[in-house]
Amino acid sequence: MRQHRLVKRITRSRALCSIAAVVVVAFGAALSSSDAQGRVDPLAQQQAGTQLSPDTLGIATGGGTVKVTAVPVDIVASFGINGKRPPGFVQNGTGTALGRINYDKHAQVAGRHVNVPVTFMQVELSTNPSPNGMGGKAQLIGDCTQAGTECPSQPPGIQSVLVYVEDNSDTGANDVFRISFCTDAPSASPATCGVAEGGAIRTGQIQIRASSSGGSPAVPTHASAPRLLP
Amino acid sequence: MKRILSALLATVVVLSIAVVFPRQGNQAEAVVGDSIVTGAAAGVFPAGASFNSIELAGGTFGLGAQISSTGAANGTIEAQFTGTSLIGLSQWITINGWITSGTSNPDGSVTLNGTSTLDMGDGTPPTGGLALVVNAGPTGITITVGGTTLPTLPKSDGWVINE
Repeated sequence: MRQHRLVKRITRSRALCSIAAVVVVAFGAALSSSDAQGRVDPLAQQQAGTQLSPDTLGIATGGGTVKVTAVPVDIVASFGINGKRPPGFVQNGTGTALGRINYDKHAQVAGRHVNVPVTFMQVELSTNPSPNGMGGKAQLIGDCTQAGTECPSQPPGIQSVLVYVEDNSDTGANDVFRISFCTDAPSASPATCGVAEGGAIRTGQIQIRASSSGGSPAVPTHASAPRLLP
Repeated sequence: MKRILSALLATVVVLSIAVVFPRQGNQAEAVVGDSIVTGAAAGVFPAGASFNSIELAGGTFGLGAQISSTGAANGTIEAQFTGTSLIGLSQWITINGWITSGTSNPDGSVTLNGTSTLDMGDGTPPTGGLALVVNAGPTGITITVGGTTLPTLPKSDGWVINE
């Protein structure tokens, strides 16, 4: 009789262990590899950083013109920027990013072209985004040391490009683009950069959003292009 | 009998969990998108190019857009074309566009679609809400605003990178 009870107890505990094992295996099968490795799903997590951060998820795009102060006359420069987090981005403070910085001064001056890949980025999402879900600031860092890039040769030793942008409106009004050139190696926070060019954009727009799903459900349909003077 | 019931129970548990917590590993890939196009460039129109009776001389543009594998896209484009009016006055035409969809073409160019604002630069108020189609590539840019295609601006300076 006692032996029969013992057998019953062993059988019951085996059944419980089997069920527990099945549950564990089922969770493992259902969990994606990215989740299992602690990677970040930008769609699932759209936090609003309150300051520029190398860990904040975000996307920066923009195109337009900016005025560059020069002697004897100011110069107009066009810019195009893209920045986003790479696949499997890990929030470990390094701020890795993908994208590109293009900058073209429309004058016959030295170092008027910039064409560099973005390798680091810091993002700050607006705590009061526009109806289109956009707004904020970003700092894109481009790598001048990679093959095929174009950066100014003066002053000597330029290794990285720092672009700072602000998205302050859906129409581009009060958006900001500034670019400076740094002699330290690319990183999320370059320290030895020269005086920045640019400022409030002349035409165009900067867009900063949490993810690519933060689309444009209500693109501006009102007049937005400012009056231009040659 | 107990073994059969246990097997059935295990199967039900596995299926239930798989349904409740579906695999979502593809979401990050969708966010990354397939390509990005970036440009800042300038060019000179060929002789005879015109738009809305403005004889076009040259232009500049800045572009930043990210295209996902679904065809959805985000970004902006700004283009300024300079020209001369019928009475000989210098005129600057400005196009600001929001990109909402796009595709990468086999020749390395991209086709972007969205909504734009057109400022003719003649003192009249800018017109918003115009359908926008942009074809941009290493050789230049062609913009269609509100169904009217502007002459192609060949790129003679700067960069347009599709990657």
